[in-house]
Amino acid sequence: MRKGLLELCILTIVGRRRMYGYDIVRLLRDVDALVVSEGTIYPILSRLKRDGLVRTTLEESPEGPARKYYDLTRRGDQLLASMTAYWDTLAREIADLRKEAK
Amino acid sequence: MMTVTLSPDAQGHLDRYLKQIQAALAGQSSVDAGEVERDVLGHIDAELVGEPEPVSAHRLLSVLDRLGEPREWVAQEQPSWQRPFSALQARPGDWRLAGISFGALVLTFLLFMGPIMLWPLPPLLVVVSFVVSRITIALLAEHGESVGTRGWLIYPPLIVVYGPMLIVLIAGPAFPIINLLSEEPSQTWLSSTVGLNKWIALPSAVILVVGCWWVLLGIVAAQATGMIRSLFRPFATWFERRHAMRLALTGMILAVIAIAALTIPRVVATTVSAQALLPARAVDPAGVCRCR
Repeated sequence: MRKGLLELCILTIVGRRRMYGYDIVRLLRDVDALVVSEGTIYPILSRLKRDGLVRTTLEESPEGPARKYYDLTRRGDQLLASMTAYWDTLAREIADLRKEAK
Repeated sequence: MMTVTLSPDAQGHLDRYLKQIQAALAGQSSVDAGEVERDVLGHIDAELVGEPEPVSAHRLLSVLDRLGEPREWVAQEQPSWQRPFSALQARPGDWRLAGISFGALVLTFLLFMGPIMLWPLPPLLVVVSFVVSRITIALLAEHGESVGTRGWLIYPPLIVVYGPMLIVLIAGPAFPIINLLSEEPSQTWLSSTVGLNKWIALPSAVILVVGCWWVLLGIVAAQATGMIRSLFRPFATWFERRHAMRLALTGMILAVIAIAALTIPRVVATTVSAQALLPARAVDPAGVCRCR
């Protein structure tokens, strides 16, 4: 069931604003229901980049080495919109089903 | 690149972890393994910034623990039906080599039991399965992976070779000595030389030889612990100098017991007979006692 949820979460986070990879992991770490090891995020980010859904920019950091920031591409934005719409529909219909069952 | 300084122990753990990442992501066309490795390094660095340096292994391991097993990252990336295949392809050679090694051993047994042995194929297959097992273990170590369940395939070919090797090494000259002393003339010679019953003389002689051999073996092994560990890899990783010294000490004790068994009865017999002769010498032919 979690398959695809991580991609949706990552695209949602990156869709809000440009984000440092480590900060994406920190945000997802707080989503207990996802139950993923932190390292899982990095191969997904790499795959999303390879698929042209996110792009990266390197920026110097005063705290250490240059940081890689992720943001959505146009394709990523479109995919996020369709995934979010699908998720909303699914969540609403499941909620209706549960209401009827009660 | 890391900005924090790690302790040597922590650096070792990090190196192994990076090897695990490389091994897990090798052959994954959907991800850039180098990029993931750099991202993970950046993550570790960000987690450890501000820690007292050099950062301890304990602190690093808590970060690695939260990052999880690199093998699982890939597994979670793929549909379930692809996972068994990717386990084979993602880490080239390891499962396949283990399979080849075990297969060669099974084929050896089948040839031994079957109607056609195809000599000298069976011993050649044993050598092949042994060499492939050793290569597999070396490759896994290089990738920073544990043998895990592959041990069921990798260890039997090693045991088939190590078992006889260990027996020969421990028994040493015992077998040739037993073979030599199993003949009647040798037994008679030994009994007459030491002046004992053959049932005491033969086992004592064998124990003496084995004891001396263990002393020698222990001394040599104490000087070459690395060679012993390498020779019986991966089963002798625990072997240290103190184990070799214990072997030498045991050998020394056995040798002393054997020497005692070979000499004490003779000394006792000589003493007893000397005492038995003493009163006879003390009485002169005239019947006058000159003892006091």
